[in-house]
Amino acid sequence: MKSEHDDEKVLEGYYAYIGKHHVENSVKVFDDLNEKRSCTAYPDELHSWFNAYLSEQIKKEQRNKDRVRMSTFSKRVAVFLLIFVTGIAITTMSVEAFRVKIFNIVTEVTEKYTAIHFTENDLNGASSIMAQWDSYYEPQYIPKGYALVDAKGSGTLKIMYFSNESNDRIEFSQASIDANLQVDTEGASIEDIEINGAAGIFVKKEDLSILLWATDKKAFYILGTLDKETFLNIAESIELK
Amino acid sequence: MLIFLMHLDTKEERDTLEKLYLKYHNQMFYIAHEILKDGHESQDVVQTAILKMVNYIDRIDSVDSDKTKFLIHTIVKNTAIDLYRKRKRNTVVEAEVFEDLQDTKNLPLEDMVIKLGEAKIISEKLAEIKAEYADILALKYYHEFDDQEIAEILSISHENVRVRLVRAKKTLKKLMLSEKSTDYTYGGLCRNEI
Repeated sequence: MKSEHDDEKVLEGYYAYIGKHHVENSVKVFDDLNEKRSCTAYPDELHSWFNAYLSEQIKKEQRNKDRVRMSTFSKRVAVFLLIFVTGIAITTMSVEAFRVKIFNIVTEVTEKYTAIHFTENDLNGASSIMAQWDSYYEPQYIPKGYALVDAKGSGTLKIMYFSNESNDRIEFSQASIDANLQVDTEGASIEDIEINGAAGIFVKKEDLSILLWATDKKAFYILGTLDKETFLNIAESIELK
Repeated sequence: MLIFLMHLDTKEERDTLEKLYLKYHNQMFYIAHEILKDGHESQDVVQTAILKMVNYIDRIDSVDSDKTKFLIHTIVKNTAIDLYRKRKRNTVVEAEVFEDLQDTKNLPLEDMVIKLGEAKIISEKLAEIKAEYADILALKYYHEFDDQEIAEILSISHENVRVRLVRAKKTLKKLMLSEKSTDYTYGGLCRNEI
């Protein structure tokens, strides 16, 4: 039995059909505008606005990808730790006298601070290498205009200060691998980097940047207001004295 | 309330928007300028229209399709009209609202003559009477936008969408009941609708 609902359905189909014809009629007018529009000059400001809008969308997409990458990195670190701890436990149980030195950089990105631990894991309780304390690393490349102005040391920690005429400072620090450094990463960008095969991170917050990396024995950082490439050049030039 | 997402999620969406802009930016500016006769306001309209299109970018099947062209034309035209009315401080309320809403019941289909072959003429006559009636039927039943989306596209309130749909159907019903068939001309741009 036919109902009002059925009538309405038929009518909706007819409305769509009317709509389709109206669209076709409108498009003819729209297409004709292509010839008429040449008399109206198109403002360049609109092109600039549109290009800026698209660029902003690309940057937003990149920032989202970086966020996802950091999240993935954190999860991988957690998995690595789990495997590492499990592996150590198994090794300890299965081998009587077994000495393993394992180095890892563990980055815990907390809400406010990033704690960077450089740890040396010696199952036999072996002490750190004393001989290293008497020698130091020095960068062979320093940006033009900068010169060594100060140095400080306490135990294994050795810091060199470089400065230019404008009093811009570069701080180069080295310490043994079991140092525990706190870096303020709130609102900062963090990037994974590699210095002569050693893993590290580059942290930039406003004008200040810090490049932090470690070998199997030493931890280093460079602190200053220069660009990342300059930091990398300094880092890659260090030599043992 | 107009809600803009204004965010393109994928490269494909960005590419689609860029293609639309490159293909239709001149026409969009022309349509706005024909209504507003002002370069700066026309720029504002084109920007607003592009940002509105972002909300529907995932529903663009093809940059060259009639549906897409109609959507762009409708968004720009209505955004310009909205700005024109605000500029003129035209606050005329559609007084026939309550009267029209009284009779929303459809006549039984048997009492109406649906002449599919005359649908093109009917749509033209409807647009001639009031282009916004034909526009809203197309957006609702051919494009299948919901009332909120239609409100954003036409720069009108959600309530006005409902009222306009009722009026459009009522006017169409009268046309369908009519046995007369007169000559017509298509209205083109709608400055006289303002």
